[in-house]
Amino acid sequence: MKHLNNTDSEKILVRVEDLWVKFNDHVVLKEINLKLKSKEILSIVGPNGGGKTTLIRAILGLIKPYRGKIEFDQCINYRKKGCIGYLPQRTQYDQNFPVNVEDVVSMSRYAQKGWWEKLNSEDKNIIFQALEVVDMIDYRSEHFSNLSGGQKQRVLIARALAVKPEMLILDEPSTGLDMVAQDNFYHLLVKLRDQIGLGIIMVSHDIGSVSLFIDRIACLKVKIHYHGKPENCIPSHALEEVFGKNVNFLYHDKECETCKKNHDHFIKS
Amino acid sequence: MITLLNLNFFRNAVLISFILSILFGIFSFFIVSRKMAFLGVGISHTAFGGVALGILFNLNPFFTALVFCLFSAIIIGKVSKYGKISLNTSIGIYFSFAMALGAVLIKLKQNYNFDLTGYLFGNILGIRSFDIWTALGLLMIFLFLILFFFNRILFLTFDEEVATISGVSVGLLDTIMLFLLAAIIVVSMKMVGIILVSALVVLPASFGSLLSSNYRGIIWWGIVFNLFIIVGGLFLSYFLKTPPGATMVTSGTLIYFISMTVKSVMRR
Ligand SMILES: Nc1ncnc2c1ncn2[C@@H]1O[C@H](COP(=O)(O)OP(=O)(O)O)[C@@H](O)[C@H]1O
Ligand SMILES: [Mg+2]
Repeated sequence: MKHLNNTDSEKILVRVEDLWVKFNDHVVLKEINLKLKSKEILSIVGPNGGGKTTLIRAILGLIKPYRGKIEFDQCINYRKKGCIGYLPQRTQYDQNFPVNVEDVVSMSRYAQKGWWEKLNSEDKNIIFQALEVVDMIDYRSEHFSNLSGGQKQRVLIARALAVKPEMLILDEPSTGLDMVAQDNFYHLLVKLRDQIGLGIIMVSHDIGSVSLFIDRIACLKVKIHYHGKPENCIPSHALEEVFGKNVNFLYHDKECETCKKNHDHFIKS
Repeated sequence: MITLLNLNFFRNAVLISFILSILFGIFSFFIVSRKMAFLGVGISHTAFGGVALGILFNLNPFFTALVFCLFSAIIIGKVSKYGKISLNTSIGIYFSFAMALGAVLIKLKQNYNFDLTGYLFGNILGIRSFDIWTALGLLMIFLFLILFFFNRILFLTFDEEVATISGVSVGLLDTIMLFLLAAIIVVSMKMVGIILVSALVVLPASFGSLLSSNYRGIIWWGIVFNLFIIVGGLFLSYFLKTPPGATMVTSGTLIYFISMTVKSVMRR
């Protein structure tokens, strides 16, 4: 794993340079340039099949890129001591796995310890805090398979938090959450960013509601069509390229100042 | 009963039964929840090829079967990967091959009065003190690994990808699991036989999950179930004068079916 040389003023958690991913000659990602700093929320949006999950999995080292560079800050050392909390998209895991809520979150703590170690009171605290943050502490003895989709999602987010990460990667975390829960969840992310200083990458296919609280947005469909501030200024042609012509998510103003400033982020297609 | 336990071979069989009950009780849970049951079937059948190799080259069939099973587990994985076929297809191809190979090899070694059915369906008269010691050794290794790696294996079983990201060494643990699977199968070969052993891989956890929805409960019930059918089945087979392995598997499966029916009737 390659590490970055960061200065103190700006901590870049991960930097992706000219990343390409191919599946059997089928190019899924091309020329991806992206970075995530600490204390910021980056949202990756795009249509289904646009390559969002693939990009995340490449960053996590679960897929071998065809080309390109992925570098992390010194503090990230996943696989040894997971500094990345990860919430996968697919529900590939067994929904009826015979564990309770606390067991699920404890798994993250066990993974962080030596194989000879048991969980101590500090670990218990971390587990309880993580459950409290997602508001699932009252369900800690509940059987995992008895929970609703949104509650399961929250428990899995608690599991990601129990890693004590520097960086969170969430793949479509709002799936299965209703409007109120979604709103609470977004506030939770803001809280994690502001209070703990986490860097967060969040995949979403719904740019309308995320753009209110995130710091930067990247529109992805094979390539990154826009990368910059979300404030009502994603160029309409970028949106069209990514989502198609019939989409009108965001109010767009061609004279938007932020947009002009951010044009260096914009990759011409 | 007392006189029965004075019989040397029977005492050995009882000892092995106890050990196997614990081993399969715990292991079954992981195999079943990782959906590796068919791998268990496949690897146990390939043991036959390993036994035949041992007979052919005058080596201890225990060791040749162990090595052959491990080797087979690796090959099954590679065939699935490079042949771009599912793991189950790969197992299906490979395990009939290994059994056929065994049959050919045994025929090549002519005039050998080889206890074929003993290996296929178990023969407790064949249990030596060597088998007791290897079973005990395996139990120790197994309990050690389970004690220390239980929660990691649990994580891995639940969600492999996130376990990897969180620092669990999936490759190492998978290798350990495969090794244990092969070892347990080979150790129980004389007791229940190559063909029947796969039942012991799947039954305990299936039974346990009828009674409990928590992994601790499933494992405990699995062990209780095993003590009942493996140790109990051994005594039953003595009194009914039936083959022990077959008695265990038949009674175990019946108990499972009955419990399952009772449970689903009670639910209505
Ligand atoms: N393991 C894989 N093998 C082959 N193709 C894949 C694989 N994973 C994803 N793809 C393809 O890559 C493209 C992007 O998929 P994905 O990253 O899941 O999109 P998104 O998460 O944006 O919906 C899709 O066309 C999908 O079919
Ligand atoms: Mg996706």
